[in-house]
Amino acid sequence: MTTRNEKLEHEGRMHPLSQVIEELSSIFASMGFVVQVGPHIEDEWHNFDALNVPKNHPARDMQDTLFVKGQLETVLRTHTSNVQIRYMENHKPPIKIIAPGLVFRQEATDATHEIQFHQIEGLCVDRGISLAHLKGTIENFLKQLFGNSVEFRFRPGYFPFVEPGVEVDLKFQGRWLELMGAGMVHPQVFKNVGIDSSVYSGFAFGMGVDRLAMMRFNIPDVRLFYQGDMRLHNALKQF
Amino acid sequence: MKISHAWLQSYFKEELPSPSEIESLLSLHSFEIESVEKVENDTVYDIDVLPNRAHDCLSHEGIARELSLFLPLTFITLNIQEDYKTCKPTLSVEVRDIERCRRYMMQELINVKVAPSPIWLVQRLEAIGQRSINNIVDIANFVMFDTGNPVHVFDREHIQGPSLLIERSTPGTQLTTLDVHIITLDESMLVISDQQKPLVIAGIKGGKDAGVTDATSHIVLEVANFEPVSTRATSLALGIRTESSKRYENDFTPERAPQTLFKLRSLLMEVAGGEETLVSECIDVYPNPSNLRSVEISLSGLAQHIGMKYTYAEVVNIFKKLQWEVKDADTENLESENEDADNVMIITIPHDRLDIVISEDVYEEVARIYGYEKIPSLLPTEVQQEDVHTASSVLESLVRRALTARGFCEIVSYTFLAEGDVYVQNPIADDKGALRNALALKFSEAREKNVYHAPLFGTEVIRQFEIGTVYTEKGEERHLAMSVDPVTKRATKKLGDLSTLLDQEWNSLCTALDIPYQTGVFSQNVYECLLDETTISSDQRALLNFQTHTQESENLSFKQFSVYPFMTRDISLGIPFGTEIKAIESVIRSHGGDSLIRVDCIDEFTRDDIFAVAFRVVFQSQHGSLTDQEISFTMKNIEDACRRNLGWNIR
Repeated sequence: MTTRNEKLEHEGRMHPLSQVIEELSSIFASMGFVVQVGPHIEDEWHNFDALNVPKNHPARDMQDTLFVKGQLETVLRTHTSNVQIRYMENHKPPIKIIAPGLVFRQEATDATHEIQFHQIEGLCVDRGISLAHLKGTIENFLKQLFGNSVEFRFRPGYFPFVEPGVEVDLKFQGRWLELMGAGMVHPQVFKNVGIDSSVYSGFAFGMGVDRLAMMRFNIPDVRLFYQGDMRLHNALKQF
Repeated sequence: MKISHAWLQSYFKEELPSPSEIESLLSLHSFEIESVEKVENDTVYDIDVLPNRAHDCLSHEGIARELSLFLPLTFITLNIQEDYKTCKPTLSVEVRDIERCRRYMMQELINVKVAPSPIWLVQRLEAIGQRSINNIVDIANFVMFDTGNPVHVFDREHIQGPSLLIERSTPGTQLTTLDVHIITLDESMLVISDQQKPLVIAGIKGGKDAGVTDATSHIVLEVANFEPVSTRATSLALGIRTESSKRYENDFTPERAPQTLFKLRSLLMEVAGGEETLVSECIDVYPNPSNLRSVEISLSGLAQHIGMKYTYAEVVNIFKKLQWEVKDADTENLESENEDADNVMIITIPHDRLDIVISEDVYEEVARIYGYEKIPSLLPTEVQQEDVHTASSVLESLVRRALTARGFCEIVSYTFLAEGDVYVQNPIADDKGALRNALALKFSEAREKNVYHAPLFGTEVIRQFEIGTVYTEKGEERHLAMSVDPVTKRATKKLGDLSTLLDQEWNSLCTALDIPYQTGVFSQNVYECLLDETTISSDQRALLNFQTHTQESENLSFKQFSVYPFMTRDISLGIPFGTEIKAIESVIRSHGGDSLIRVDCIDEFTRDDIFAVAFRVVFQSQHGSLTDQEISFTMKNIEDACRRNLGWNIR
């Protein structure tokens, strides 16, 4: 008798974005960070003002925002930095959190841009935290993610909520790629949440999960993530 | 912003290093370089100036000053002995809005000659993508790209009356721009007017009426400083964004005006002036001059913030390159060579550096100029914080792992659709105007697509789930959607009622995860339920640590799937007992051609003494749509090949 070819079921798989988020969460958890979340519909205070992005400042051009109809000064969060603010408003240092989640931008979609995408942000606040601690944390993270031979560099960057602000580049397939924005928490941000910046200092960093997942799995188009199309899962093969 | 290498070179006595070295220096210490392009005898950099440096670096001079921080080169400042015939101005200037017009400098040149520009000027402008018009217009453009301070040149003959007014526009007034667009102004907009009409939208665009023409001989030079926020508002309201408005929006110091006027005047005299040219006295309306700011820092504060020690000499040397004046707060420590002394320094910040306000801004300057690569990597000391992972991420991670273990694939669908409880004010499309108030609709669309594609996966059941936020009148909720869809008759028969099946699945999942079961809603073949984070106990939260992520993801790589339609054909065979299914598959595969992508056994049965099997063969090309004819031909090949085996009958 022949063996029955049972093919009733397919293999269960997480979405590539979830795989990356769980992987990043596990790496940061190993360094003592705890996972936190926050609302997607956010007031402008938590999305902009508390983060030292003043009204009418051209910096708000950098992210074109989706506004909620019929609700004053309410937006779809443009980053998960709102979680940092909410967390600092309610917790005393030491703080070590990461905030993964969905964010939104008002922009034309193409292979590398979507109106919805995922970010993961980190925040560490304590006595004596310095830019060197940011560098060490990023280095540890990148080594766990890409292996010990990973190459990265800091470049000057600008985000109103950090000072100094840096861009972190990763050497990927022979080229430098922008991976994340980071820096030392701006004293004005501490003031806005009621943390004494003469006692505490901190660093923050943030990166796009979609971009990282695209790099990790060689996925050419960000829009593939949001189609609900299982051809995406099927196209991820062992190599 | 485009920056010409040859133009930068004009700022230095010695030769600049190679473009690739400049690219590397600027990107590591200052700004990202988008591209480096060879243009005739020049190299052009496209530099992405950071928003906080747009005050002082949207110009060749600004970039040259940056470079001088990292290169041992001698910076040349324009040094021209001015020896002109002077006269009284024919115009007066009245600034009626000193908030918006922070400074207005005006000077007239009489008896200038409009002509084509000299070659050096044409080359400079063309390198950065600007078109040459005539010597006067070109110099005005050149000076803006050189100093970062936009300027304007009027033809005096077309200014009516004895004065220039800087004032808010009268509502409804019209102005025809240089590129002949008619603009209607309102009272929020600042204009430069003569006695009859507006001539220029302040800081944004000039009008046609008082522009320079070939016949012009008496010109009026404007070097001004307009307030950034209102300039941006006007620019946005009119939909006119220019190189000039871009610079005003970003704010720069009014203190730059005198050097800019000097440069504008002397270059105009060089290219359009002569023996008979008269230069009027300059009018400078500047009611509230900027004050110099000072910032206090300490070496210990710097070391603490950056995480490495810089010596007093190193820091002072950086400030010297920046041309920042340093005073030691404690004069006893002056010129201290003692490494341990904590020097407190008071630094006077030049007008141009509007971005330097607090000590952290100064720390950043030191760190980036000295080099971020020199900062050590340290890990923060381990601290025991009281909090643990938030309950919802714990719950979702548990559910996600349990469902994938049960053969479900996780999908993510769009948040935006046409209708919902919460709407977006500025949607990107009409059918994306609302936020979903349930997962079911988009999830079900995906489900249908996946069922359609099932032959590509070789499965008889599509199991999918999604965890996502829904937006209702009550607020945001996290939902779970699940579906199980049989795609063959035998699977349909086996699975039975889907609503019952999914409810049981959820119920057993709750039991397995030790969370309370609350029934979900079944509609459109989707089972949707609330993921209630409050049901997670603190013990459960403390246990989950995200450290058990699977290693399998590490070796996965995406293989582009075909976007062309696939075709399926079924083939049934009667075969002798004992024939291996794999052997039949192999025959089908080897005669199926390049477009065969799958062979799946979908049925087998025994009746009397006949054993029969059915296969589904899936065809798809990476290069185009397949035709019926092509596939029928291939199927015939497969059938012929099967028949060549003893005892195989096509049914």
